[in-house]
Parts: sequence; C-alpha cells; structure tokens
Amino acid sequence: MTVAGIDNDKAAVDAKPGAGGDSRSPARRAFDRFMRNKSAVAGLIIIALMTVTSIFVPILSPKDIQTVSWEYVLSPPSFETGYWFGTDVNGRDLFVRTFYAGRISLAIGLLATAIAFMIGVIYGSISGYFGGALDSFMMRVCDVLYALPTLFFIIILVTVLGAKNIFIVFMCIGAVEWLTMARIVRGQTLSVKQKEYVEAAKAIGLPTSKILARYIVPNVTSAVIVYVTLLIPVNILIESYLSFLGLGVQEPLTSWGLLISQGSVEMENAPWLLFFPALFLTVTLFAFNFIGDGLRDALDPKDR
Amino acid sequence: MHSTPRTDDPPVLECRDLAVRFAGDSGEVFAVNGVDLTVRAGECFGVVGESGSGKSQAFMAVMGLLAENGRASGSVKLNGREILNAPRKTLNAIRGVEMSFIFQDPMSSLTPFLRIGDQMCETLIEHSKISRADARNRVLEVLEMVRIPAAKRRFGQFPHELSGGMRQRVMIAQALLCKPALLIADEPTTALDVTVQAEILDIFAGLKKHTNTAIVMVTHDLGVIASICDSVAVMYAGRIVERGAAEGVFYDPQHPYTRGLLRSIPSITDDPNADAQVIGGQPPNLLNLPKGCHFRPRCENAMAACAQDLPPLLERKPQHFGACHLEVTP
Amino acid sequence: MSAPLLQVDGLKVHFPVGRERGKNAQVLKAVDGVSFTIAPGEALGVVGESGCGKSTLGRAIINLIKPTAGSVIWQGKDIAQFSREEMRPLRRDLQIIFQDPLSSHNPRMTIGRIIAEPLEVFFPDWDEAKRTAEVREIMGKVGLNQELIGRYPHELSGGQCQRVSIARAMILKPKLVVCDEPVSALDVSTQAQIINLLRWLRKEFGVAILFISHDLSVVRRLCERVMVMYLGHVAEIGGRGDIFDQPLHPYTKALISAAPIPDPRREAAKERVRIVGDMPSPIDPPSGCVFRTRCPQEAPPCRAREPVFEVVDGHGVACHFARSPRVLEPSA
Repeated sequence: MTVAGIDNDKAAVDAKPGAGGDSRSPARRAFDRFMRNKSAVAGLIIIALMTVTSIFVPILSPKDIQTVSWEYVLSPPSFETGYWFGTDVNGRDLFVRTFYAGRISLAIGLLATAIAFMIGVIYGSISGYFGGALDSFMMRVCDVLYALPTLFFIIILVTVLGAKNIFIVFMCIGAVEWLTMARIVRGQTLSVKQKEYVEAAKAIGLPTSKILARYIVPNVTSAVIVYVTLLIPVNILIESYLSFLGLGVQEPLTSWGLLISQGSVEMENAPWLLFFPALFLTVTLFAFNFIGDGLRDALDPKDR
Repeated sequence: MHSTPRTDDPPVLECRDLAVRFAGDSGEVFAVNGVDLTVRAGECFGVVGESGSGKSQAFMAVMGLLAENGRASGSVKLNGREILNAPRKTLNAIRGVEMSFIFQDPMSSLTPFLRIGDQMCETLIEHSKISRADARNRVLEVLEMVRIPAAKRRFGQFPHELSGGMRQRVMIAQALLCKPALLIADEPTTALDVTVQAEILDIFAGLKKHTNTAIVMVTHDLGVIASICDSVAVMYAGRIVERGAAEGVFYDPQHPYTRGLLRSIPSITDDPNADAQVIGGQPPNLLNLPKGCHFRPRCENAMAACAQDLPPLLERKPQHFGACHLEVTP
Repeated sequence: MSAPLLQVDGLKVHFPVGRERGKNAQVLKAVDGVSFTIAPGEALGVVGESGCGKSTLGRAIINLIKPTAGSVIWQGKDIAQFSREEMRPLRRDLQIIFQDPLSSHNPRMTIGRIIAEPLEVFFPDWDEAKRTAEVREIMGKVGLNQELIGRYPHELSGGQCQRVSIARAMILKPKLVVCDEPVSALDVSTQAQIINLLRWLRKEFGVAILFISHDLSVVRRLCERVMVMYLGHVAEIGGRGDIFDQPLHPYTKALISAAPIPDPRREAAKERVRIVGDMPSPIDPPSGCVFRTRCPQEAPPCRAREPVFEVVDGHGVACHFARSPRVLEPSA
C-alpha cells in the first residue's frame, strides 16, 4: 500500500536558532545545561558529600553521638586530640554530632518538602482543573491559611501535637508549606488544561481521573520542580528555628538548629560550638539555592 | 504590470557571502550560508522559503538583531556602506532611519503604555530632531499613507485599542516615518486574516508606486510574492537556490525545489479533483545536512553529481540564477 | 440522498463575558443559529476568518463545548445536551484533529501510547500485543515510520505530529472527524502531503470530515461542500462549484478574491471585491445583517432586518440581494 508523501526520514529540525536538530529528550537537554552551570554542580556535589558523610559517619568515626569523655570537656578543635571540631560541655565530639545533626536536618528538609509537594500538587491540580465554585472555595481556604503567620502556626501545631516525635515536626512543616505549592500548581494547571492535548483526551472520552493523572500532573510538576528545590532549604531553616526555640528536635537526637542553640550558650568560651553547625547550615542552604537556580536556568533557557 | 528596476541603479542593499551561525547545545549550526543578493531602489524583493530555510535569520543579521548566540559573517552594504556587525551606536542611527523593519507580530514593536501618536512622534523626534508640531504632521501624513481611517482619532489611541490589521498598519506607518531607503518586512501578513492581508498588500503596492523605498518581503507564501514582488530569492537549508525576476521564477523555475513548491501550493484556481503534487520527505536538518546538494534527498532529478558537490548559484538564464546540477533547458 | 449522518439545527453557543450575571450580563455570541447537515462520507469545509465561530462550532458538534441552544442530531439522536457519560460511547465515531501539531500531544507520552490511547478507552480488555499490532497498522496507513513508535512528540516534525493526530483519530474507524485547521501551522510542502493523506483516508475509510480552515484553497482541494461563516452566522453554503464559481454572498466573493494566487499574471489580472475594516465584536454584533458594516452593497433593508437564509438546489445564502437584483430606490 502506498500513501502519498510517506515520510521515512528521521525526526526533522526545529528551525529555532540554537535548537536545531536535537534528538535528545527535553530532560536530557535540561540535564546537559544544568551540568554546565558550575555553581549548581558545586552545590550538587556539596549536598551529595554532606548526605553521604552523614549516612556513613558511624563508620568514619569510632565515637558515638553520645560518647562522653570527661578528659575533653569544651576542648577546642585540634588534630592531636582527634576532636577535629572540638567537644561540647559534656565532652561529646562535635564532628560526630554535626553530621548526626545533618542527618536530621536534611531528612526534615527533604521529607517536609515531599509532604508539601504531594499535598500541593493534588490540591492545586484538582482546584485548577475543575475550576468554578470548587476552585473558588479551595483557593479561599488557602487564603485563610495563608493569613496565619507560618512560624506561629507551626509552633501552635507542634505544641498541641507534642514535639517528642520528629515525624510530627516533618508533618507540621509540610502541612504549612504546601500553600504556595498549591497556588503554583493551580496556575500551571489552568494553562495546561487549555492545551489541545487535554481537549484531545476529552474527545476520546478518557475519564477525568486519568486526564488528571496522565495529562495534568506530569506536565505541571516540571514547573514546580524548581520551587521544590528552593523549598528544601526553607524547611531546613524552619526546623532550625523550631529547634533553636526548643520546639523541634529533642535530645538525644540533634539537628543543626539544636546545635546552634546549644552553641550560642557557650559562644564566649567555646565559639567552635556555634561556628561549625552554623557553617554547615549556611553551606547547605547556599548549595540548595545554587541547585535551584541551576535547575531554573536549565529548565527554562529563555529566561537567562 | 510590474516594472522591473533598472539593473544599473546603485543598489540599496547588497549582501555578499552572508552567513549566520548559531552556537547551540549540540554544536554550531549554519542557519544562513553564502547568501548573495542585491536590492535596488523602488524594487520589491521577495524572499521565500519554509521554516528553517534561514530567510528570517538572514535579515535579522542585516538589521543587526541576531539572538545572542548568533554570529554573522560576510558583507552587508546599505547604500554602499558596510553595516554588518557595525557597533550598536552606528546601527541605532541607521535602524528606523535608513532601514526599517516590520515584524509578524506588531505588538512586539509597539509600547503598550504609550499612545500611538506619542510613540511615533518620539521615534521621529529622536531620529530627525524636528519640532513636535512638524513631527505630528509627519505622523498624520504616514498614518494616512497606510490608509488608517480617522487618523486624528487613532493618534490618541493605545495599541490594545486597535485590531490586528490596524496595528500592522501602524507598524508600517512607523517604519515609513523617516522615509527609509530600505524596508524589510518579515511575514507582515502571516498573522492576519485574508481580507485584512489583502488590504495590507494593497498598502505595500501603493508604497511601491508612490515612493522609491526598496522593500524586502520575507514570507513563506508564494501568493504574497506573486501579488507584489518584482524579484524573488528562494531559500532552502540556509542557501539561496534560485534568484531572479518574479516572472522568470514563477514561469520558468530553474531549481527542482521551486518547481515542487509551485506545484504543491494549493490555489483556488487548480483542479480540485487531482491529488496535489508534493515534495516528498522532510525539511532538512540543519545539524546534519546531506553532502552535496542539500535538496538531493527530496529531489526527483537527483543524479550522481548531486551527492558529490554543492551546486553553485549560477546564471542559467539572463539575470536568473539557479543552484542545480541539471542542464539548462532552453 | 441518504439520511444525514449529522444534522445541526439552529445551533447557538454563547459565552458569558465579564463579571455581570443576570439581566445585565454580556454575552459573546460565538455561534449564533447555525444549521447544516453532513451526509455519510461527505467532506464539508467550514471557512471564515478568525473570530467567526468556526472552531467553537467544531467543538460544540462533538460536545467538547455545551451548546446554548439548538440541536445536534447524530444518527437520529439529539446529542447537544448529552452528559459526559452519555457521550462516551459515541466518541468512538466522533473524532477531532487540532491545529497545533506540537500542543495536540501530551509531551510525556510516546507516539505509540498516544495512538493507542483510544483503544485503551474503548477496548480495555485487549492485550498489549493486539494494541501494538493495531497501532502499527494505522501508522503504516498514515505514512508514519514504525520506528517512531517509541519516540516523543518533540522529536517529530510538524507534519509527522499531524500524522500522529490523524492516526489517533482514525484508529477507531470513526464516522466523522472534525479537523480544526489541521494544516495551518505546517509548511507548504508538508501541507500538501497532509491534504493528500486526508483525501486518501476518505477513500479508504469512507469517513465524513468537517474541515475547518481559514484557507479557501485548502478547503477546495478536500471538500465537496463548503460553508462560509461570518460572525457566528452562516453566510453561504453550497457545493464546491457553487461557492467557488458562482458565489452569491458579497463576503464569499471578497474572501475568494482576497486569497493571493501564486501566479503573478493571474494575480495582477484578477478582479477584486474589496471589503474594508474589521469584523465587529461578537459581543455587540450589528443589527440586521451581521455583514452590513463591511459590505460594499449595504442598503437600508440590511440594517432593518436579518436576511432570510434562502436555499435553492442546495446552495444557501443569507443576503437580501443575493438572488434578487439590488433595489436602488427603496420603496418609501
């Protein structure tokens, strides 16, 4: 059988300058662009190192988070003693404690963001897709929650639910931070649902649940991925505030916020107790922000 | 009938070996390559090609408006003066004065916050240092030239208050303000409805008749070319494959691509019951152009020589150039 | 003539605009009283400029937009007010192809999945192998290389994307396909390929086509009947010969003469029916005949009342002076 003008050639070119004839997938192209951004790659390496070290810190150091040595109380950082970051009032190794704290801080940052992401995407895409009265109602709910001061709201939640369990801390942060996510997702959904491919899906009678899952959500998430990476440091910071105030992570666990809180007490006679956790927190926040900026440039090259 | 400009007039625009390269993620792409063309005063020169043929990029280079990753080389002379890659200051003094540009999307060159008249007067005062009253008169004059009804009222309107056709007229009026020697129009009617397109083409035809401005009409639509252009260049994969007077190109095309294009466009005069004759295959991939003649994979006349060498653009009939290895048929 | 496949009667699609509701609400009359029929296997072209309501009409017919009034009788049943659930079984026979080759496909699905999706909806019990076989067959028919089955839409050219749309629409062997400007975004050489493909598919499957386009010459190549729309109304409808050779409505004449002919001599020689200005807003259409504000032969009756849609031998026109010579001195 022959059809007029059958085309056997490979994919043809897009005529836009610079985009000519590229057979890489959009994700691959974005990845390549990301990898050329030096500060973003540096950020990625820092986070990777931080994560790996935090996970394997028990192997790297024989000392435990709670190992107390009375000979070295408030001993300054020194290679000779083996306490590279010094010790705290109880003679515990700050190097070990900083990385154990890193575990908690990073985990809270990631998990709280994941929770915010899930709620935000589901809430936002439903609100945007159905529109009308449901959309108005759902967005007014958001507005009301927005009006509450975030930190204040988290403090109330944590106090009411009890801060003994760090999962509650994750949940509380996540439950508050989804609002912006939901708004971004809703906005994106409004534009995606105008696309002809959504109409095409309706035209073959695809059920709404499948349209949402297959057409809306995947095409919306790429737009919020940048916001997600930028939300991680925000959540780490919130956890630090909470721990600093004594509402977050509790002893025997520790986090950067808690270490900073404890370090600030001894700031005058043992500044290293404040310096190292603060340094790690700051470097991590910078790293995540660099990654976020890199992603934004990689995903949306027009914006540069 | 079309009046053919005399070939001994000094050219308004002269491009020699113009090339445009883009540095992309996956290497360097030649969007335009080896383009030679000459446009004379009073002439309407059509440049036709499909997307990716380089027709727009060639003239973006002429205007010095290439995207940041683009590099132009070769020579572009406007009234005898080299302007390719000229410093921004020189270009700013030329653009809008000696040569003007009309884009497909008129909103891209109108400021949404200023009244039509005000932004046009600004342009004029900026470039020619005349009084506001004189500027106003000139603006009204050009608005009438592009047949804008109730020009005085339009003067005080904002761009969003105008329809697409009206905006495109304002664009043309703005381009004509300083009586440019050269007017480059890039798909000026593509976004418009046919009846509005016909009106805009009438305006261009009027310009040809009443002014000495050289017009370059960049378009994908051979119908537009047929209605107003004196000479035509056909571009394919960044190169000119055929160039000559409109009559010659339409009635005695010298390149198989032009022949295919002319056969495949639907027209309200052709036989509706026959299948259209088509050019097979896909448009070329600029990153991976075939060796030899770029059109070879789609060409019905391809020969052994076509796979070897890129055919040069040679004079095949008097003042009619074609880039093809085929023998010239008398 | 056989019973029509689709009969549209007095179809209206109005959209509320602005915030006002109730009595003061402004209404955009996108489609305002359109009637026509399509016979099985017939191709009807709908021509008009942007804003004439042709795309809204196409979507209303297949119930992607709910009509405000009027009926859409599909094989004897009025489907105009059908719910989504009621429509679902009918969607097998009613398909649509959109204009923009890139945005008509989910960028995250492979070509194979895009084409197979209708099968998934209508034959959920088929296994993967059976679906793939069907997909490969239709890909062959629309001229898509089988290697493309695992590719993503952005890797394809505009013409190939449009072939994917056609494959997806044709895989269920529908009875009617609405084509909304399917070639407008394509290059000339690709356009001709797609039109030939659509012509061939009509012969092969006997599918009826509602072909929406602003380009008369494209419609002329594909459709044996043509409907010209203006501001939500039908200006003229008739066979291809009626419309192109003996147009009656001044708007049709203007449209035909405005299309540039790619032939300099004929282009210079052709007679022009000039119309000026722009289409009025469908929120506030002119009284009487909607075309009168741009009509070269406007007369008092045009302002006073809407022209009667007169059909003679299948050639319908809405103009006071189309068939009766113009009365220069209206009787006082």
